Amino acid sequence: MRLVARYLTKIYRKPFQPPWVVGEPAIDRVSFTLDAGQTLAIVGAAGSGKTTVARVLSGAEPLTTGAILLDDEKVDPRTDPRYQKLVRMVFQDPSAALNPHYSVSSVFDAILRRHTTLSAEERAEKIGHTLVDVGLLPEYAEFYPYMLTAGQKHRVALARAIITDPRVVICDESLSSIDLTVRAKLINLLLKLQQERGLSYIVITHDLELIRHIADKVMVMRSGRVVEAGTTEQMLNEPRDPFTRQLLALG
Amino acid sequence: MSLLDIRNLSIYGRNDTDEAPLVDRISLTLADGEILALVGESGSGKSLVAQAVLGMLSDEWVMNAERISFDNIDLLHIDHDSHRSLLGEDMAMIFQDPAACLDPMMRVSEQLLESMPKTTPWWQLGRRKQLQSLISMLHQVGVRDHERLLTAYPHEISAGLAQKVMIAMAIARRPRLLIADEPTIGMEPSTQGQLLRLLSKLNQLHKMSILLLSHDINMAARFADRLAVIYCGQVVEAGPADAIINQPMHPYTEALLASTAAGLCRQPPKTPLPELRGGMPRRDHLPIGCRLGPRCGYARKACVTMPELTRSKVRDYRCHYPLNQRIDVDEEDA
Repeated sequence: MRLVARYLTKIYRKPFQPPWVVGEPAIDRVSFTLDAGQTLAIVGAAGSGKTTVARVLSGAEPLTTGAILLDDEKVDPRTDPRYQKLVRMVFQDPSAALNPHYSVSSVFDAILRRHTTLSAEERAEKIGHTLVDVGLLPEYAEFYPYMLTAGQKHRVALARAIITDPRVVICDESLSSIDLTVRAKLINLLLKLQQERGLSYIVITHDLELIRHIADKVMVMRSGRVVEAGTTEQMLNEPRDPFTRQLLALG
Repeated sequence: MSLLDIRNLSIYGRNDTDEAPLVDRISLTLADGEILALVGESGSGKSLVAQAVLGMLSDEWVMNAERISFDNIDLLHIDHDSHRSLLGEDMAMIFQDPAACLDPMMRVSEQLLESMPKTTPWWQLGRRKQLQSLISMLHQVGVRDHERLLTAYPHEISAGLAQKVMIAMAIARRPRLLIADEPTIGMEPSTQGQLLRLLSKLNQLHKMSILLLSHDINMAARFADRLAVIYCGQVVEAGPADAIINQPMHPYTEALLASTAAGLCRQPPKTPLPELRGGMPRRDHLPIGCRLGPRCGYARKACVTMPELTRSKVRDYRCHYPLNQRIDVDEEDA
């Protein structure tokens, strides 16, 4: 499994903007390659287009131009069900991303019904297995979000992403605003899943220690463009670009 | 002389009669010009302590304390109006969620003008002069593009900018005590460093005391003189910052330190990190005895009884078997 992004460009249109006016691109010709079992970290200041990359890759926003290739095959994240099954996103704030009216099992069941052809019993079994995989008990399926602690909500959010057996998981700042002891647990869980299943991660963060620990490749972005990209060692030890140096020195 | 003195502060939910308190007999003293950091995870009750000091505790909670005094004023028996006026002049708070705390119907400049010091009456002070002092205030907190910011409404500015506006409002009147509730959460490293430098500069130049509430123990230790680590509403360890960082005595402090950035550095990449078992207990399912007990790697037989806060000359700790100390093994354990 190999995810390739070629010249991803996204230009947001403002309301009431005449069609001949072309605005500033939010991301401008972003390209990268992600192999199986690799972790790509995207770093950059606020407003540098990191989140737009994640939104475009997860299909939440249509691309303006550019191509996304899955195993050398061009795909459209907005319509391709296979892509939507294989590339999943973990949202930033799990307490906001879980609907308080639905139990964990009904949320997961809806996902499985959309992406698989499993029967009701198989789906229930799959939900139980996934919850065990992220370190929860199968009984948590009947829980509602208010019954979960912050750490458990993060695990449920991750379980929701991995329940379709994806190959790529996108984490948008989901590791930066949580308590440190919970974060250590979540990092261990991500690393364990990567070793067992060969998952690839795209991690958006500004925590350099975290990048040092989990990332294989780093991509530095500034006002929508990729300033520098390379392996973690190379980037952290010998950054070439002055902006990267500045960013790393402050971290 | 201590500026802020809290003794045995407990906070209960209004409707639960037999449940454990959310904040359990916390005692803190903050000397004039000192920085004290309250370190704890979300749900440990650190924000409630700050709200109790400011008199902003909502009706859900009931407060119970031996003494809360600020500069020899008894805050327990003060009437609401004088507490409010104290809040504007001598105490200030930086709230956790800045975007939610700004008035969405007013421009940023109007809100900032409201909180500027009113030492001279308005008819002597031109609006231009007021605006100038306001702009210099914004430059101090690290805002470069003030033109756009002043005319913007809160929904138009980013969370980081909103946080800076909140800080400018808090320090505008040079309060003697600043309570900062997670001031740097979710900010980029460069902005974080800038903010902490600004706060420590204010502390040194204007002798402003700071009570910092944070979940990042390393950041707090770099910045603060003294630390108090809170777990489930109890102070588990308190003392000078460097002593706690170098020689933690409570297992919880040790676990917190291991999971921070510096702890990550010592590990080779892609290896599992040290972690505490289980999760933070819910308020209605608190364990009997030591509250860390079921999660603690060092727990022994004596841990089923609640340890009392042991006070030594400089360090306080709440543990039967403190780390980094010669431990006499009990005979029943041997």
